[in-house]
Amino acid sequence: MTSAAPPAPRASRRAGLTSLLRRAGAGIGTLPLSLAAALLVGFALTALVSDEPLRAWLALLTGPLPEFHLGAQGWELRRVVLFGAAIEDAITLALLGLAIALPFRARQFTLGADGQMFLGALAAVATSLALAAWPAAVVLPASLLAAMLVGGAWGLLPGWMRVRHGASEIVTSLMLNLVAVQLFRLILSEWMSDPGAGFIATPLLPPAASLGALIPGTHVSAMLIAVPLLAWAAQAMLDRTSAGYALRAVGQAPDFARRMGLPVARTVMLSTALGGLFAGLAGLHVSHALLGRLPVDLPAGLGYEGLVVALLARNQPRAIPMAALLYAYLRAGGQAMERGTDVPREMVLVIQALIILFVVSERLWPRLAEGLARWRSRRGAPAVETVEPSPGVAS
Amino acid sequence: MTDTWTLVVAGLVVALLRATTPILFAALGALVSDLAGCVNVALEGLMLVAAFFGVMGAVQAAELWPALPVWAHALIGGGAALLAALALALLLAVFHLEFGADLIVAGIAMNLLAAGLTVFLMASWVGDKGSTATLVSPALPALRVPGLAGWPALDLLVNGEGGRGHPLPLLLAPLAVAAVWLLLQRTPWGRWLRATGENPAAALAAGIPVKRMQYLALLASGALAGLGGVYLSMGYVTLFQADMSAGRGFLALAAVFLGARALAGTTAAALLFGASAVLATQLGALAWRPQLPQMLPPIVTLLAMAVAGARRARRPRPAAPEISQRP
Amino acid sequence: MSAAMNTPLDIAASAATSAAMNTGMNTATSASSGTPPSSAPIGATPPGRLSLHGVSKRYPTGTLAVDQVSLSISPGEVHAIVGENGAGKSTVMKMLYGLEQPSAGEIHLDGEPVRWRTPREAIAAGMGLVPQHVTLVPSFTVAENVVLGQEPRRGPLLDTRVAIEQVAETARRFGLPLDPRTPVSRLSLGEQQAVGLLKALHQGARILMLDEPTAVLAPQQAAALMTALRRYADHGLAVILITHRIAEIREVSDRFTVLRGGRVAGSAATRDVGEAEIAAMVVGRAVAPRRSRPSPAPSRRTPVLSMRAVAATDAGGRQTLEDLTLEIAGGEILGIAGVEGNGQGLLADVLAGLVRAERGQVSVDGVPLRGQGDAGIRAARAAGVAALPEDRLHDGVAPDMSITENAIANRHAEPPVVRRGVPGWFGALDLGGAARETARLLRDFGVVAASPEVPIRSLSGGNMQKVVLAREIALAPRLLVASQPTRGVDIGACESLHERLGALRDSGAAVMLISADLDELLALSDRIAVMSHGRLVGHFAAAEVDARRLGLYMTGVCHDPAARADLDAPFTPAERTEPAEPCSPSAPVTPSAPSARSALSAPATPSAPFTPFAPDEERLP
Repeated sequence: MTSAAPPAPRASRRAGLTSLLRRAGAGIGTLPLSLAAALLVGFALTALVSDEPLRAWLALLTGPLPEFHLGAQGWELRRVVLFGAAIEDAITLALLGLAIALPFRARQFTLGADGQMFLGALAAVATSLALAAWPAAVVLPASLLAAMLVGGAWGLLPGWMRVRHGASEIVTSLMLNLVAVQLFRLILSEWMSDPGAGFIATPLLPPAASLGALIPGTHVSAMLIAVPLLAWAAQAMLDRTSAGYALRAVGQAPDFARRMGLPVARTVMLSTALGGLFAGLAGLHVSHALLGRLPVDLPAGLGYEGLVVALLARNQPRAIPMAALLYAYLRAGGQAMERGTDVPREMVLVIQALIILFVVSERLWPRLAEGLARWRSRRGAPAVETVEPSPGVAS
Repeated sequence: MTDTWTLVVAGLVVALLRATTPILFAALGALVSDLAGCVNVALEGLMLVAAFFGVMGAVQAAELWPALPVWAHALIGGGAALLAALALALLLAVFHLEFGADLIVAGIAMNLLAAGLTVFLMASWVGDKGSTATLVSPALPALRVPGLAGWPALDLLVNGEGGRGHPLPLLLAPLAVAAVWLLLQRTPWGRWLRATGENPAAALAAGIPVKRMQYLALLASGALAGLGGVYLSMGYVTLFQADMSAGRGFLALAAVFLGARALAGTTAAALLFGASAVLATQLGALAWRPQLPQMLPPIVTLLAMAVAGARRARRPRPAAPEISQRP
Repeated sequence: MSAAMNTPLDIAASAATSAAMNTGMNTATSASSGTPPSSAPIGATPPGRLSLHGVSKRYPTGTLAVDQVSLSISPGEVHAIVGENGAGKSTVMKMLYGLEQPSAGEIHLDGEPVRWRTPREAIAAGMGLVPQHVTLVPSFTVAENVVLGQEPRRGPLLDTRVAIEQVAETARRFGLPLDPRTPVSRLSLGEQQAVGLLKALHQGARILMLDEPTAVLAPQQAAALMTALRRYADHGLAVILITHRIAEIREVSDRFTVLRGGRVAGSAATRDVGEAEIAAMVVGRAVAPRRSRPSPAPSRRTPVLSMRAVAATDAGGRQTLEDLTLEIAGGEILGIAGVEGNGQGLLADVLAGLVRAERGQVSVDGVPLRGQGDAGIRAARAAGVAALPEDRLHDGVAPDMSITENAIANRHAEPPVVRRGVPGWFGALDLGGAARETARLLRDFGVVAASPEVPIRSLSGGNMQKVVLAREIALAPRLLVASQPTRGVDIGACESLHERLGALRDSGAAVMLISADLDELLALSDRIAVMSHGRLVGHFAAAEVDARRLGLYMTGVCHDPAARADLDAPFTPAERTEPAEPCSPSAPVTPSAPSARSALSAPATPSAPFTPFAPDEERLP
C-alpha cells in the first residue's frame, strides 16, 4: 500500500525503528503510537504545571478501576462510582460515535450530533411525561421511538440540504446545532419547566420511564447491553444490506456509484438520518438513564467528542464501543486525577485533542521516519533509500 | 422628545458595535483564510486562547513590573494574547500543511485543545475553574474624546456609556475592515491569496508560493480572531470565563457564508448577527425569551444557503454534487 | 503605412509591411511608459537554445512517463511535439516549466545545465507555458491574470493603472486584441486561451510552449494563431507546440518530434516529410493480422442504437457533439476512431445517461432515452445500456472495495444478490452466493486473485477490466459502450477481452467500441466512424480501410462533410492516391499552409465573435 522503498540491506539492523515508523505510517498500528504520543505530550504539559505529575498520571490511568475487596461476605466491588461513570459515558459516547461514523462512511462530514442529541432527549422526555400514567412497557418504547424519530429528522436536514441545494453539510450541521440548542432551551423553559425544582429543568421522570441501574450505585442501565447490539446491527447493515452497500460505495467512490445507478441522493439522506437516529438515542440515554430529568443548561459539546470516538474506531461501527470505552475511561481517569491531585480534569480534553491530531495526520509518522533516516545518514550510517514525492500543489 | 429618541438610537448603536466587534474580528479571520482555500473552524479556540492569555499576560506583567502604568500591563497582555492565538494557528497550519491532517478535523481538535488548555491552566494558576474573577485584570486602554458634554447622543456614541470611551479593539474593528479591504484589493499579496483559493494551479503556474500563502492566511486569521478574543476578556468585561467565546467562532464562519465570501457581505452579516444579539438582550429586558433572536443568525444562514443552492441548481452541475468536494 | 505603425503586429501581412513592423515594434517599445518585466524587447538579446539530454521521469508509483527523451530547439524555430495521450508530451512540458523535475537526464539552456524547482525559476529563465486547460483565476480581469505573480507596484500597493497599460501594450505588440479590464469569466474559451498566451508573452518568455492550443479554437482562429506563432518565431522566439493535428505541423513548424510511450519515435524537419508520412509516424505503422469477417449484410436490419442529429455539450463546456447521426444493429460492432478530446468522452456520457442530448434523439430498441443525471443513468440502464468507462479506476470500480462487491455493483438491490424474502432497501445481501459466483467468474475470465474478497485495487489493469466487463455483461445488455477498453491492459488480457467483446456481439447485442488504438478498431469492428471536433468525418467498412487512411481522417488532413453512420449510410469515398492531394476533391481541406492567406483575408464570421489577430478592415491601407 505504501510507496516506500525497502531499506538498504546493510542498514537493516539500524533501520529497525525507522522501518517500524514507516510501516506504522502505512496505517496499521499508528493508533497505539498516536495514543502513546498524546499521553506523553500531555504528561510533559502536566509536569510543567503540577507538583506531582507522576501521581496525577497514575491516577489518570488507574483511577477508574474498581477495587475488588475480600471482605467479610466474600468478594465485594468497591469504588464503583467512577468505574460506573466511565461505563455510562462510554454508552453515550458510543451512540454519539455511531451518530458521526455512519454519515462519515458516506462522505458526509456532518457535525450535528449535538443538536440531534438535544432534541432527541427533549422529545423522549416530553413523551415520557405525557405518558406518565402508562406502564413501562408502553412508556419506554414510545420514548425510544420519539427520540429516534426526532433525532433522525433533525439529522436528515443537512443531508437533504446537501442533496437538494449542494449546501456544505459541515456548515449546515453547525448551524442546526446552534438552532437546536436554542430551541431546546426555549421549549423547555416555556412549556416543560418544573416550577417546584430549584433550577430550570423538566420534572423528574416517572418511575415507569427510568432505566434502572444494573450495577447498584451507578447509572449503568440496560443500555449497556443495547449498545454493543446496536453497534453490531449498524455494522451488519453496512456490510450485508443493499442500503449499507450503497452507503459505502457512495462514500468511497461517488462517481462510480453514480454511474452504477446507485441511488446517491437517497443514500446520502439515509446516512445523515441514521446518524441523527443514534444521536437521539444518546440524548435519551442522558435524560432517562443518567440524569432522570433534563436541565435547561445541559452542556453542549459532547457531540464533538463523538467525533474523536469515530476517528479512533476508524468509522467502523463494531469498533466504536471499544473506542468509546477507551475514551470514557480517559475521562473518568481525568476525574480521578482531579479528585486526588492538583491537576484538573480538563487535561483530558487536551489529550483528546492531541489524539485527534496525531491520528489524522497521515504524513506525521512517515515524515518522522524520513527525518530519522536522514538524521542517521548524516551521522554516518549508510543512507536508507527514501523516495521523494514529486512536488506540486500542496492541496 | 427628539433628544430622547436620538439618545435611545445612539444607545442601540453602541450596543450593536459592542456586540458585533468580536464576531466581526473572527469573521474577518474566517474570510481571509477561506479566500485562500482554508476553512478555519478553529476560530472558537483561537478566541479562547487569546482571551485567556490576554488576562494572564496582563496579570503576570503587573506582578513582574509593578512600576509600569496599568495600560502598559494591558498592552503586554494584549501582546501575549496575540502570540497565543498565532501559536495555535501555527499549530493548525503545520498539522494540516506539513502532516496532512484534514483541516476541519484538525480545527475541531484545536477547539478542544483550547477549551481544555485554558480551563486547565486557569485552574492551575488561578485555582478557579469558572473564571478569573478573583484576579484583578486590567482592561485595554480606552479612547475618549473630551468636551462632548453638550451633545449627549454624540457623547454616548463616541465615548460609550459612562463617558469612559470605547476600548481599543472596538475602535480597531472598523480599521481592521479597512485594512483587510486594502490587503485584499490593493496589494499583490491579497491577489495572491485570492488566486491561491480560487485556482491553486493557476497560482502555482504564475510562480506564487501556494503553501506559504496558506500558512500566512491561517496565521492572519489567527491574529484577527485573537483580536476578537482579547476584546472579550479585556474590553468591557475584564476577566476570562470558561467557554467565553460561546459559539461566536461558528457564527463568524456563518457570516462568511452568508456574506457570499465577500468583504462587504461578511461585514454586513456580522452586523446582522450582532444586531440579533442586541435584540436578544433587549427582548430579555422586556421579559421575552432570548432564544428566538439568538436562533436568527443560524436560521438566516441556512435560508441563504438554500437559496444560493437553488440558484446554482439551475446551472449545469458537476458530477456527484451530493458529495463534498473537499480540499 | 500609418496603419502599420498603429498596429505593429497587424497580420494583414505583406512583405512590405514586415520592415515597417520592425520599426513599428521598436518605436512602440521605446514609447511605452512601463516596460514589461522582461527588461529587453524581443530581438535585443538572443533567446536561448534549449536542449534535453536523455531526460526521463519516473513517478514514485513506478510509472515511467518519459523515457530518455532528447531533443533541441533553437531560437526562431517552431518545434512541434506530436503524440497520443499518455505519450509523455505534457510531462515533458511540465519539466520544462519547473512543475516536475527529471528523474534522469539533463535540461540545458544556452549550453548550461538547468534545474528548475518551481515555475518561478523557469519563468525567470525565459520559459513560458500556455497549458491546455485554462489556469486563470475566474474572478480576476485579464490584466490581473496576466500580471499575476509579478504585479507592478507603487510602494506596497498595486499599481493597477500601470498594470493595465503594460498589458494593453503587450497585447498590442503581439496582436492580441483583448481588453485588459474584462473579467476572464466572461470570455469564451478561445479568448481565455489568448489570455494564457498573453500572460506567457508578458512575462517575457523567450521560449514559448503551447499545449494543444487549438483544441478549443474554431478553424479560422486556429489558423490565425498558427500564423501569429510563425511571426513570433520569425522575430526570434522559440516556440514549442504540442499538437496532434498534422495540418498544424505542416503549416507552422520547422521541425517536429514524435513521442510514443514516453520515447522519441521519430524526428524530422517538416519540409522533408509529407503529411501522410507524418500521420503514419503518429499512429504507428504496425497493423496486427486482421480477422476475416463477412462484410455487413445489406441493411434492413433494425438498429439497436439510433442517434439522429444529436447535439450535446458537456458540463465544462469543453466538448461538444454536433449533428451526430449513427446507428448500430444487433450483432454488430461500430468502432469510433479519433484522437482523444474530440467528443468521444461526451458521446459515451450521453449514451450512459449522464448528459442529455440538447437536440436530436437517442433511442435504444426504439425507446428514446430521456433525462439526465441520476434519472438519466437509471433510464439508460433500464433500456439495456452497459458501459466500460474510460477512466477505469475512477468510474469503473470502487478501488478499495472487494472484487465481489465490485462485481455485484449493478445488481446490488435485486435478487439473486439480495436474498429472497427480505425486500426493499435493507434487503440482506447474499454475500456467500455472490462470492461463489465471483469466484466462478474469476475462473471463467482467467483472473488470478488471492480471493474474491481482496480489494480490487490489487488486480492488474487487465484483470480489473475483465471484472468490469463481466459485471456489465452479466445483465445481458442490449448495447455495450466500451471506451478505451484495453488501455493499460497487458497483451494477454487484451486477447481475452477482445474475444469476449466478439462473443457479446455474436450473441446479438450492439457494441460501440471507442478506441485510440487503431489496430484494435480494425481487428474488432464491422464498421468504423471517425470523429473530429464532435462530428463524424468519415464512415468506413472495417474490411475496406487501413490505419493509414484512418490516420488521415483522425488528424484532420481529410474529412467527409457528409459522413453519417446509420445503417443505410454510404461509406466515405476513397481518396485519390496522389500524395499532393490525398483527399477526395469534394472535401474542403482544413486550412493548411497554402490557403492560410485566403482564410485570413476572409472577414470574421459572425458566429466567431472573437478572432484573434483578425485584420482590421478599416485600418488597412
